[in-house]
Amino acid sequence: MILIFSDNNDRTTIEVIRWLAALKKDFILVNDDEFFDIKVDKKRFFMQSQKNSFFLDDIQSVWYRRGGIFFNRYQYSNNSINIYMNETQHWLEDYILKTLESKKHINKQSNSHVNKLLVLEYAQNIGLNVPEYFLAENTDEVIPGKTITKAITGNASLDNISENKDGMLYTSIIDKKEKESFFISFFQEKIEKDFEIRTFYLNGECYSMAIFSQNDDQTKTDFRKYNNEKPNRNIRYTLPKEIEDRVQKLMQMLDLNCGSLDFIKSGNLYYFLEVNPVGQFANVAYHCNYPLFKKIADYL
Amino acid sequence: MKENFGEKHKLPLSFKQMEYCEHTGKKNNKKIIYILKSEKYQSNFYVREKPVKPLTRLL
Repeated sequence: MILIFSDNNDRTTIEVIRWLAALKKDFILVNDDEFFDIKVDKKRFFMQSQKNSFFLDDIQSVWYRRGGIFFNRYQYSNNSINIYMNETQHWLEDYILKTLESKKHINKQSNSHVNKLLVLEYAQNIGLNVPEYFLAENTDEVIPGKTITKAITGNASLDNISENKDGMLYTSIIDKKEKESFFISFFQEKIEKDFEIRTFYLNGECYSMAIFSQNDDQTKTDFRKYNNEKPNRNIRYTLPKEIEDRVQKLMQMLDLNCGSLDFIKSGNLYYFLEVNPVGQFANVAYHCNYPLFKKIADYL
Repeated sequence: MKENFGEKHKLPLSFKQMEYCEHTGKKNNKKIIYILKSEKYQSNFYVREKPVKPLTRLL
């Protein structure tokens, strides 16, 4: 039995499930709104949520697409009992999580979110080019027009920030100095790019796509500001072997066997930007005709 | 930062260039159903569309 953790509106998950159905592989899809009770039946761990139930030892492989396994935890009215029972329940949950992560898997719940700052340090250490970056609370060191700022969070959107409006924090160019200070912000040298590269990594293999976003003012600084009327051109691309080897090293350091990496090509140099373990890769599969959904279904 | 979203504490500089779009959570087009419930795929998010025909099948 294959266990899949995802959120309820991820098309990539459905595409992989199409293949699992075609390959006649049994699966359980767990969404991020489910909460499991841990039970024991005839000496076997049994997990039960509103929608799903399974024996822990029936699970052969796990795909952490998004979300994860979440548990119902009982509260007790006596404070001392509550502290004791909290720890008891913690160790049971820990056992379930670690047992699932020890099975054949694609990514893990425990490291599905990476620290962008640490990733950049690791990338530099293994010899990838990283545009110069720094953190600051003012723009004293910022060169206007030649510096960008972006979020250090995995998620750049703020749902419902004002009535019926969502906010998006795209990568943006700093064009003037600020008089006032602000919360610690991430600044990075702006690289004049020839094109961008989105690489999907799975178990040592890289599947790359070149995105020609530099000729469109809307997508120039952040290709996620999609131009739906005149979309960017996306084509298959192969990174040089030494870059692919470094990507593999980086992913091993991060203990990830799957993820999406962003690069910029400028002249002869490839600049590494970031890695996203739960990033969207359906666009890479569709535009470049890579059989990524099947690769995942085959592996599970 | 002139506008601080009414917050007492400072925010990162990227908030100054935040872009807004319609909240997507409430999108509900009653005329066309794009998303179906599927028992086989254990999902409420089965996308109704023509299947993608891989390029290799056209060659």
